[in-house]
Amino acid sequence: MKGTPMSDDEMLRQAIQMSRDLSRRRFLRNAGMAAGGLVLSPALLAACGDDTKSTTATTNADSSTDAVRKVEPDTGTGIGGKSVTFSNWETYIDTGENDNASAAGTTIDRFQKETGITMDYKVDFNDNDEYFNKIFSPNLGTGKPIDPDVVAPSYWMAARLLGLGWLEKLPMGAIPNHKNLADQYLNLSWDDGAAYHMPWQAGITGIAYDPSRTGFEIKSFKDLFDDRLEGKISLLKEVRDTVGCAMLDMGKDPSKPDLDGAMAALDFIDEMRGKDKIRQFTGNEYLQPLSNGDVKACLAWSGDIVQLQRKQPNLKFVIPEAGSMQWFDTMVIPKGAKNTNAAAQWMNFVYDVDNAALITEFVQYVSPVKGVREALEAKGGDTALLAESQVLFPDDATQKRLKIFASLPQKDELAIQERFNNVKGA
Amino acid sequence: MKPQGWRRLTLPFYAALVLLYLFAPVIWIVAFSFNRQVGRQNINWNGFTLDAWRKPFENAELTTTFWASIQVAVIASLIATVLGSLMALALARYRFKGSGAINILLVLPLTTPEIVMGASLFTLFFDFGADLGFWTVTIAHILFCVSFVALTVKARLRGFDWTLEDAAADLGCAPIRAFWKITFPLILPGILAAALLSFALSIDDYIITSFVAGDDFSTFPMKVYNLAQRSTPPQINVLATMVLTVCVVLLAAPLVIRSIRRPKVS
Amino acid sequence: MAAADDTKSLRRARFAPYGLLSPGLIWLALFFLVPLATLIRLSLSEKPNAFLPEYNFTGSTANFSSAIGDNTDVLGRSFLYAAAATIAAILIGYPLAYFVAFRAGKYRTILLGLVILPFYTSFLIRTLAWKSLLADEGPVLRFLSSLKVDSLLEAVGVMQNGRVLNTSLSVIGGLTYNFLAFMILPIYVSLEKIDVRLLDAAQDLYNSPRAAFRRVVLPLSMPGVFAGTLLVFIPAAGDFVNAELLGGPNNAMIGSKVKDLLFNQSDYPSAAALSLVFMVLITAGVLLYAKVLGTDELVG
Repeated sequence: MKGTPMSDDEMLRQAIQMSRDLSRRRFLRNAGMAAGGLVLSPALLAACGDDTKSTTATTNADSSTDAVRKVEPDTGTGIGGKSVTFSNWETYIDTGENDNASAAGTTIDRFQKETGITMDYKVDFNDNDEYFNKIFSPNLGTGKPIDPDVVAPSYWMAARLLGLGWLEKLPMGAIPNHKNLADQYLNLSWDDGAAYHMPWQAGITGIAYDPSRTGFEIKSFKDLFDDRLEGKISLLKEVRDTVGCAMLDMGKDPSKPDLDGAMAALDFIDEMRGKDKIRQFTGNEYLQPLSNGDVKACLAWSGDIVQLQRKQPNLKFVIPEAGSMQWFDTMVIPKGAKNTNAAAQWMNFVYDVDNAALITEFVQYVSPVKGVREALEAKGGDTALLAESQVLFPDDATQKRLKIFASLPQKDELAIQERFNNVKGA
Repeated sequence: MKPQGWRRLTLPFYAALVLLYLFAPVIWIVAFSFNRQVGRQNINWNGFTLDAWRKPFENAELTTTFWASIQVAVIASLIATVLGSLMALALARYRFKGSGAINILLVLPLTTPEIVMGASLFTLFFDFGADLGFWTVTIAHILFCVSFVALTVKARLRGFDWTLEDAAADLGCAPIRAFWKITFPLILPGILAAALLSFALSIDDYIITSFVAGDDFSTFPMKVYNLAQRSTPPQINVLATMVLTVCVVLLAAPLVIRSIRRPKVS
Repeated sequence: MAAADDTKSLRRARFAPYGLLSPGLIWLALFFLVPLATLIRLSLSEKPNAFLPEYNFTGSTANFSSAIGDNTDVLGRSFLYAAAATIAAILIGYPLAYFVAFRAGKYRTILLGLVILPFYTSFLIRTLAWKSLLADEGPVLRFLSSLKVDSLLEAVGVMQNGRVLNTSLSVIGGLTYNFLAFMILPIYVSLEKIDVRLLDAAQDLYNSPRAAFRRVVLPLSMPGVFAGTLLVFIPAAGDFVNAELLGGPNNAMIGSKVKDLLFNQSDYPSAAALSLVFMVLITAGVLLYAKVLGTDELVG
């Protein structure tokens, strides 16, 4: 097109399109699209994850988090439809110019234009426990509502909130796209039918390592403690991920409440720590040591590894034979929220397949929405590569090996947490 | 005390080493603001680029929090310096009942782990229904800075020759005037040092701030901390370098002005 | 011949000191003492349900005994690391403060500015930078191994399995670095006010720079060293960021424990009790230090 004069409109339109493409492509390039986002198709996951359909209410009387919650869905449409506030994790949605999540062309922008609802998007959710102690507990615990209409805690925190009675039922009448929710999320023990939550994004915990640094292939959790690694490994600070992987390695099933199993796993980890075989317990900070060799192998989260592989193509992400942990962050409406209708409309919007596909394309985590993989494939080009990602798109057999950590009675949950705290920080 | 010969050089050499030690991470930070970042973390060197510098304010949220931090730090260190210096003055100059207890009271906030200070302040503000945000953060910052300022200025005032003021009084000078014209200029360097310290403390605080900032207000360290969980844009390095540059300029300015005004005496 | 005897001019004024103190005192009373009272009350309470913000005041000291019992190791380690960092800060910082105060001449202000300059960047970024610098294959270690010093360092225990990070040394190093300015500045401040003629006279008198230093400068700088020690030791002991970023699971400090109790376990009474134990220990330590040092800083 060089040399051909264009009208101003034309140029403007092309410029906008180019900048959209560029920002998307730049992110893809920067984030290592070669092994991009993963979409778990519903059929594959039906068999795995939290298969607690068989789990009925356990006998522990001191907690309500373990009761099966099959409730009548709320068919209403909720209240308040002019504005909505959403508290989410950092870098968890597509952004446009200036890294602005509400810039022109972004999901939020299109949502606002299509529905006429104003969205206040906050990225102040960065730790479940902190948020619980600073915001949920002091407010919801005393009957006061909190500011956001939608929050996206991790699955176990959502279970806890529900057990405490601090969540509003989703106004299903305003969420026709609820049917797009992948099947595996519909039969969780703590919210049968997903009447109180709609997953935002999911991910997998696995083992990341560089074979050129380790000198051998790592196949199981126990391999991390092989002498050849000289203790240059790290585990995750997130108790359910680390203990879950250890439990799986010992042949136990973390998706079923098993306090003794968890304690046995903790004994093992404690022993390894005592022998100086664990370098560190990390959050996301394993990325740096992993890339510069301070850590030769570690427990890691799928989304992060993807873009690290761009720089280190040798990097492998393994889901052990014994299995690994799956997690997800999920949208919930806290009790007393003023704009449940607007919140519902937002959830509905992001559960539209194309919208969900766009978000996944950008953040490159696992989408809980059915049909996203096909939508990505249909887009072709770089985007289609995401759908074919081998590293993050394990086959059927692997899907069966992914577990979601069970929801335990409060007493047990705290006991495990306390023991874990003493192990990771002696 | 000037040792002769090569011994003259040991101290300056040592000083240079210490300065190098102090600046090592700073050099790294500045260098990586020019890094062509690949991926979400700014940890591997991928080549020189001015990209981040061309768009330092690209990340709007990062920039907002940056300015917020500066505002809080300026106000907090100003108030803390005044409050703390007054206290130091009282303690160093006068003998009075209760000075021992007050000394301990000054030290106590320092002994409180930040995390506990943060949690208790949060409880206080929450119970009073205060709106968490800019002012609660500033109040918290003033709190922990006051002790720092008081201790630093007190150390400066120890052994101060108060007879100078007495002399002025003998000569008919009003006490307050004596203070302003004689004592204050002499202790000003100590006060300024304390103010600088305060500013640095405030601009850097994360733990206490994160407790009392509430939903809507965020400072630079908070933003960096949250971002570092998932990704570290080079703009962090750029903004940090900018702060440094401004401080360098502020420090160099009076010296440059002085050397321009006064002709060099050989 | 120390500084002017200030007892003569110390006034026994009645109102002036209280007037000067009141703004600061009010601030401290409101924003520190009141929360502290809440903390004490909390430590003597129990929380029946970890997830609900309800507390029963029982007046029982059970929380204290379990706080001490469960955490003796970590408490000891925190004080050890903080002490090491303080000593290191004195060793590193004092000569620099001395240099700036006495030998820097007109470059004094610049150097002071340089000292405090790094502390205007976020400590988090600085600590992360150290993580890069001290990495196993990073510049520092590569430099050390090119000097062939690494085996020596391993023998001494400074390095561990060919690495510096995630050891007690890296944590202490991080602490020292983060609080160094708080040692340098107070020492500088107290050195700076020493009259230079005093030094000259001292040197003439003792005929040796070292003796002059020991007998004149050092004692006069003690208030600064003391202030610096407080400003370094106390926050260092309560810090947890350095331990979490630069240390390993065997290097945990008390700050992390308090954080875990507060957030992960939502156990506010235990967190309060542990913090109070920590505060008492530190204050006691500081008072002891003041006595040993012979200064009446805290009490005078």
